[in-house]
Amino acid sequence: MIYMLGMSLMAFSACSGMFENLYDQYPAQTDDLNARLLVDATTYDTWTYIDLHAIADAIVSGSNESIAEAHNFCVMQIPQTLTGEWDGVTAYTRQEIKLGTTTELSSTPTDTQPEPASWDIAIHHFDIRTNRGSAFETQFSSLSQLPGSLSELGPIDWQPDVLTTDRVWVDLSRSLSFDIGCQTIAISLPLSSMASMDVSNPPPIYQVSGKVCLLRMSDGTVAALFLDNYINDKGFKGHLTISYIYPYQ
Amino acid sequence: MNLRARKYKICVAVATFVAMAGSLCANTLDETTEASFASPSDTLYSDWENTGIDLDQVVVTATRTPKLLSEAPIQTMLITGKDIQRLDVANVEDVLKQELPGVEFSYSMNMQVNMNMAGFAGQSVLFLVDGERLAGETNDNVDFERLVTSDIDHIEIVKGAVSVLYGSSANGGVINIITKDVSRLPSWRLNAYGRVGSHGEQRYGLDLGVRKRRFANTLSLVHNSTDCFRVYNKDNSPVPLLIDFVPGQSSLNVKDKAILHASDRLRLTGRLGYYSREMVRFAHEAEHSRYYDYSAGVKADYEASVTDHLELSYSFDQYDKTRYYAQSSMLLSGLNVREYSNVQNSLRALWNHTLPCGILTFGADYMHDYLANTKLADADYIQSSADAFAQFDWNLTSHFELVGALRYDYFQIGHNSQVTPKISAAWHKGRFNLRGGYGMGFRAPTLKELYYDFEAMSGWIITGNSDLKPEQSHNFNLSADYTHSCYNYTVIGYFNHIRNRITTGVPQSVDATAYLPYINLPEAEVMGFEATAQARWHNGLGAKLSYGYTYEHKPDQAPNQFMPARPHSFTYRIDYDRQFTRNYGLTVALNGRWLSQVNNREYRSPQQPSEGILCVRYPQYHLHKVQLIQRWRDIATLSLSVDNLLNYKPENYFYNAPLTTGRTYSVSLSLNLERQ
Repeated sequence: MIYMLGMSLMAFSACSGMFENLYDQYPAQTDDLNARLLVDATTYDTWTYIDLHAIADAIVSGSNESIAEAHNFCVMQIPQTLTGEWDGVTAYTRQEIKLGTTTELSSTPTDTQPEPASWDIAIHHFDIRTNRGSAFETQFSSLSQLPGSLSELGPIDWQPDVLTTDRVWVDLSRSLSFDIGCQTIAISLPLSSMASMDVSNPPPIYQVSGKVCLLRMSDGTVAALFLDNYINDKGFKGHLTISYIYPYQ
Repeated sequence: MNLRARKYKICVAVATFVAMAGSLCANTLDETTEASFASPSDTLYSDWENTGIDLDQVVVTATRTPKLLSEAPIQTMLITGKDIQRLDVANVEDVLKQELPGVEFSYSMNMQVNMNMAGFAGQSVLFLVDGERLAGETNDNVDFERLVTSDIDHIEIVKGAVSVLYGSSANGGVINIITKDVSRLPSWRLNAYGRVGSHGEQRYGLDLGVRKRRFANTLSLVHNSTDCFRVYNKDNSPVPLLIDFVPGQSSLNVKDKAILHASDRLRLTGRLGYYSREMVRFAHEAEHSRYYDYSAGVKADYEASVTDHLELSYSFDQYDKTRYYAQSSMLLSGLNVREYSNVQNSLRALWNHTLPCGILTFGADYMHDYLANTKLADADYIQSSADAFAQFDWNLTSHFELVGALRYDYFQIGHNSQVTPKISAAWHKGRFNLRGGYGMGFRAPTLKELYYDFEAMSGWIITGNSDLKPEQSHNFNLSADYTHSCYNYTVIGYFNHIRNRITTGVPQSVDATAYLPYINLPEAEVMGFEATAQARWHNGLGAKLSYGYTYEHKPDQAPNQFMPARPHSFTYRIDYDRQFTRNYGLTVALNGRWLSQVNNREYRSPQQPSEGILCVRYPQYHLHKVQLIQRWRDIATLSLSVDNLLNYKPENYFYNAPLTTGRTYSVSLSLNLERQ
């Protein structure tokens, strides 16, 4: 009886196999921009700048064109040379990043990272920095779990961006020798921990925190952010879908 | 023993072994046959039985017709079920590297296992289970975790080009795993076993077999798991890429096999299988690799007459790889997305006709091969391939045998076709056998080698080459074996000249990205020899010592992106196996292997070929294992093992280093209940 069933299954199976329904598909990419940021952060040599204030204003205006325009994020190249006066901080640093150890191989001053006139967060692959803001990782695993108001969270240990020399990976063309070109720049550790990629033991190991993060911007307003997805419907990584509540008061 | 006279006459006449084995197979479950010895793996002739060495094992791989091991016209290496028992290992990988000199397993960056057998990589060694191919990386290394040892009767290994019988991918040899014959079951049997060991090793299995009149069925379930563990490297490695984590594995293997003797002449075999495995490199990794296999097959063996045997089979095998999002963002959490699928539908026909002077064999195969892979240039490909072959095994005299064969293969993609000839001669004189032969081998480029487009790391892309030509090899081999009393000696020499060997070429840098293309290497040579001496004395002591030498030559000395074969290797086994009383038996075994150091020319930086080439020396190592196996009647077996007895710890865990952190321990218990 079992064999009759087995052979029947085979007889009805396509030559391209069976049991397709046992598996899942990657979630279809949404174009719904309602309280959602869709960021193509697949490249390593650019920062993508997001202006939450502009998006909020566009939503208030009710104009679809304005909303789409606010989601047309500014992308800026990461400088790898110095053409003018050095700001004393920004640099291109080659690091040997092996499992558990980081050794600086060389460091070259570069131009200051160019920025648009107005922005709140910038995204580089899975790295995030703020525009003179600070951030905090909550213990909540979805936006819907957040209390109704910020005050219900109690005291919050806001963390400003910190200068890093080995986190923002610009050049991975020698990564199999663990020689990685990095940008020396300040990033937000809580926001950057929403997703991470570790190439110190190839192939890359991915980790996600699955936690809601709070972003306090320079004007004191607060946004709640949650990384829904980092993969597109074809399985390519670096396509971020971030849900948010702004303002979160 | 209650044999029909007609069958018994054939045995005594020894006209051909094929007729003998085939006709007895068809009667195995006949109610008049009390003895359950009539399978291809049974012992019928006892010329050698006093030696205690299994030369009377029937083997089928070398000619696709049943032959006694000692009479096979092509040198066949045998690993018996008893050998596997004495090794007390959980998987075929451990069996092969312990029993065969010149076999080594290494790893790739994603911890996939690659085999090297006497200078041929896994792409050139064909793995079969009961003669059927396995899906997986089409024509590449198989998923070795699929091959559990509990249902293996024996393993037959034929080295050298066997493409004439098995087609592409068999130019380095064939490893045919023969599973236990279901028709030899008692009325019912229940076997339960468990094993626990270091690094969280756990293995639990259950085999349930029943036989009633003309029908027999066996169901087996095996669950295996190990923890991931960290290995530590010293800071003196000449190459940057090393292993830091040994991944944890968890697998489930379910198989069902049934035999129905529809008549005295017709035997039907059916099988179903399910396999799943999850690999976790790092405890908090968001993405886990999962592997699944679904297989099924039917086979009909028909004895058309005393001289004619017909075999028809259909096989379905689907091997899938998925990415499982264990700990991830909301939209991905719990998703199990298929990224790779290989589906093989195969039809096979084989006809053996016995003549007074030999055996004529005709065969044909058809395979529909579907491959879907997100890393291919286009997401999926279909390839049909077909072949036909003929072989004549000619007994010129009672001592001299000649085998000639010719095969034609056709591959739809690229319209590649190939004719492969083979000729072998065997001279048997008493207990001395001399064998020699020439075989042409070939390997069609795999779909991966033709169409791969995979960014393995940022700035490092492996690319297929649709202009690849099939690899061709010319294999010459010579072997001799001699058995006297309880001793057996075997020497095998081989030489392979390979044209258009398919490998990865020189990385090409374009805009800070290194492209690693597949290429045809115009000329390469692999040669070597193996020598084995074994003995089994009547007091229960046994010993086996094997040495293998492999030499690889590539005229242009191109850097090798794959792990090279080690030139020298030893394997040994010393055991004491004795049944003290009817109730109690004991086996104590010490076995080990030594692999010499090997030098390899590699790019200093895999992504930056302009930085030059360096010669890397991979160090020698030797590992030893001791087992104590106690048997109580046929009911219980308790095994204790200490592996890596001398506590060897590699300084650096290269991709070809043994993945050991020192001495490990395991204990296993097997319980067996049955009713005759």
